[in-house]
Amino acid sequence: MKTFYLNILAADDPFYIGPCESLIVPSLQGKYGIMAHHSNMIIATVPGALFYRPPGQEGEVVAISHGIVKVENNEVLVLVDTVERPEDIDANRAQSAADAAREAILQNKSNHEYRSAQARLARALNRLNVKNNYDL
Amino acid sequence: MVGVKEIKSRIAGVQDTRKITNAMYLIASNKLQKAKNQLDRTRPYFDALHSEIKRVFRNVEGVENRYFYPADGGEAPDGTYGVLVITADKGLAGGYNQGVIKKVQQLMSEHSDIKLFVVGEWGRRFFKLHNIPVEKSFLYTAQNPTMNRSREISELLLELFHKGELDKIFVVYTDLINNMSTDVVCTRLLPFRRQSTTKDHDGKSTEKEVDNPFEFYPSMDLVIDNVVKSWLSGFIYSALVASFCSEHNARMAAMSTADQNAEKILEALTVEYNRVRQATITQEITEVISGVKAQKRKRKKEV
Repeated sequence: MKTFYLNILAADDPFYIGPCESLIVPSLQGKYGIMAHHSNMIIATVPGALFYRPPGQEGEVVAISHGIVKVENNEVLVLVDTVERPEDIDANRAQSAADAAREAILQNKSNHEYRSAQARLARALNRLNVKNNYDL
Repeated sequence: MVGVKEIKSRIAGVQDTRKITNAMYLIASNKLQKAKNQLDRTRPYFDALHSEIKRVFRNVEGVENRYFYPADGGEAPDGTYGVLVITADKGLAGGYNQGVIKKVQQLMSEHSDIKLFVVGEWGRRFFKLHNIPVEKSFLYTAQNPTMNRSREISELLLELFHKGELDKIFVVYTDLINNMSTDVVCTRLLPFRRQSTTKDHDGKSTEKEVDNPFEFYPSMDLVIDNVVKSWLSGFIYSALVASFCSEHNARMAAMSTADQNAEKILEALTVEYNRVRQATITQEITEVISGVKAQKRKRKKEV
């Protein structure tokens, strides 16, 4: 199978650098799949599950947050705030973060706080989702 | 002349101080190691983000967007500046804090309409002491930079930018150039200039030509919105980490100088102490001998 060069960089960690056969990223309009020799493109990602498969290995699913994916000449660059493996996610912490965010939304605070709480909720739910569905 | 006792207590005092500075030196070097690791891990992301943003979006012609300078090449509205100032929580770090403050003051003398956002206890206190209003201060962030904290800061700044309360966003922080030297930097985060080229640390242009135009999915505006969020939080995060690194670098240097100073003082004091002690002994001996001699003379006379 043809491969492309994948670079997943999180703000605090160069997560994966190497060849890859298939990549699926969560975009604003649902999941978006990328394979070798994809046309040049820039994609906005939302908090969600990212799937990638290095050649000859089983694919891996990780939780990512906001960022962009750039495809250029068979090189893919994933730039996101955070990348977390399911086994690294603390379900309890994610749950309590989600609860705290829900509460903040209900409190009818300022616009800014409302939106930031919503973003926190989305990230927490995404972590929980990845943890529950993909942790072995 | 200073007495033996005074010198002795002085020596003890200097030794105690040296113990403290030595401990602080060790702590700072330990933390620096940790911070450098963190910095090494964030640099690739940051460099990529930096070059990609400029490279991709400068090829986007004729798009009016609130995050860019006007398309006709004019100046952006020069209203309120939002300045994020990153200082340490503590002093005793040589010229680290002063450097940052000096840069801010320079900026304030050039432009009067500035809102300050301060990270770190030291900066907060400084501005309070000098009656300079601070829009918001973030405590307990300088010690432990995390992505979450920088996200909070960037959301706040972005919100004000959207509302039009801030026309430009700057950040003043201390960057670690190489392992030895640091530099106070003032960078504009928003808006983006259209035609600027990216340069790496050597000052060479690292830009690759874009041969195939990019397609934006789902749409250009949404991509730009997303990028700006990442750009702000990513930049603030790495600025926090770099500042943290520089802080400990500065503290380490200051403490090792203090250590050397203490060493010098101790040496001088020890010499003085020995001299004084010897002088007292000599004097005592002279007194005893002259006493004895006087007595002998007295006895001789009596005999």
